Amino acid sequence: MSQSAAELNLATLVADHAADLYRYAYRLCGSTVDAEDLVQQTFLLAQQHLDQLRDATAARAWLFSLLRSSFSRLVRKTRPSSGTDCDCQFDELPEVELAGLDSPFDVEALQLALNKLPEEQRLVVVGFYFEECSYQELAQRLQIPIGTVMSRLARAKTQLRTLLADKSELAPAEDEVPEPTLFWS
Amino acid sequence: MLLTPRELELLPALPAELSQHGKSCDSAAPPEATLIQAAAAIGADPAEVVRLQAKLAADEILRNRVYTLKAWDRQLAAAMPQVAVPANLELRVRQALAIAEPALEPVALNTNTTPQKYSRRRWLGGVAAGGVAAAAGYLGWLNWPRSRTLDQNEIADAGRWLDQYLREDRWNKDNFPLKEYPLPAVLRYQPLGWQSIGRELGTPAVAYDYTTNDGQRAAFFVIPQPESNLTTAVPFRPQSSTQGMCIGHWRQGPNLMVLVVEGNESRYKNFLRPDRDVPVV
Repeated sequence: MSQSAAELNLATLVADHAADLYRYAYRLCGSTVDAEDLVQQTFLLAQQHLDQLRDATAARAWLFSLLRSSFSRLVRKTRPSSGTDCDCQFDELPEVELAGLDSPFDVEALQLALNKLPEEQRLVVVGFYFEECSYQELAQRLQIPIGTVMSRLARAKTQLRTLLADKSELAPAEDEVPEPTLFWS
Repeated sequence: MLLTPRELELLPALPAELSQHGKSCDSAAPPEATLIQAAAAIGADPAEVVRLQAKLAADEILRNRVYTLKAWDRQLAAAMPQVAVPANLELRVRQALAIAEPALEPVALNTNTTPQKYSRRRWLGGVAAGGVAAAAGYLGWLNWPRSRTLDQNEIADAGRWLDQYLREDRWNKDNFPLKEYPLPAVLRYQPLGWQSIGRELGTPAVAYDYTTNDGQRAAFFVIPQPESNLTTAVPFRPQSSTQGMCIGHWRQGPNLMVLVVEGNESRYKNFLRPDRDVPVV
């Protein structure tokens, strides 16, 4: 990005980043409605705190961090006890088969599989691919140790492989709310 | 074909050429300095990475398996951003932020092409008339708060007069004046058209035409009133109803907002999103 901070304005940020933020939000929350709400909430926050953004090259990371915070608040609000992740010593676990590698990659089922991951793992795996940052950078952004980033990422990918290989696990739970129909779709 | 979970974590640290399919371990093995550097990049013990490299070097089947694993990772990376973005996402975000660009286009919400029993243009005229009358009433009340209020007969008279005027299809379909007359985020839908109603009110103002896919119809009025002391609280229940329309009003920044919806209270409520009730300046 070649803009200076002075050239930044909200309309430019929306034009440049709304679509990417939506994709990121959708992968995090699995709902088109919630994803759009998160994007709008992100830009509302950006509008209120635009003066905090002094480096134009940091705009994308800043917006992603605002969205991530909004997502975490949303999760705490709606699913306060969703944490099934643990930061136990991953290397103490037994050896594992590389499950799911022989199945064709199912793009359509990916979101269903992501929805099954604990929030902590989803934040890492989605952040890793969307924010295109190193383990170290991801650790700083999520404010967790680098080893935790590595273990959560590895665990998330292992679980994704398993879920995508055996799709019987991907059926939505009974208490999961179905995706609302978009008004504008 | 087994790797420990820790080895799975360390795999990304290995240079890509290490586990290339079909290559011998000797031709693929990176120098130890490279492994140490790779380990340092992820804060791992170099000895762990060297051990993993040795394990892979000694087992071609495992090496090929890891190659497949990395190919799966690449598929995951490629699939992750494959998300369809809703049409006009930017427009809705700008509306929520009350910012606009000149080239903004509305979404055509009403795709129903079946014949309608009523005249939509006539209905809009009626809705707009009621809305403008109500707005005019509020304006009058604001200007002379204790002298008088507009009664139902006056609203009806104003409605009839404006109906004649607004029955003509004056709705503009583009160049929405969202910057000067911003729409609040609390509105659930997008406008189909707009027109200036300044001449009728005697002050610059705009009416937006709302029609939804499921047949709900409404009009929304934005009337600059910098001196207004009206509440900024959005009325999620209609404040009044007249001529089969529910009406609510509030202030947002320097503007008076008036929502007029055909039908009962539940239809009115359907036009508003309580979760979006955030102040927009």
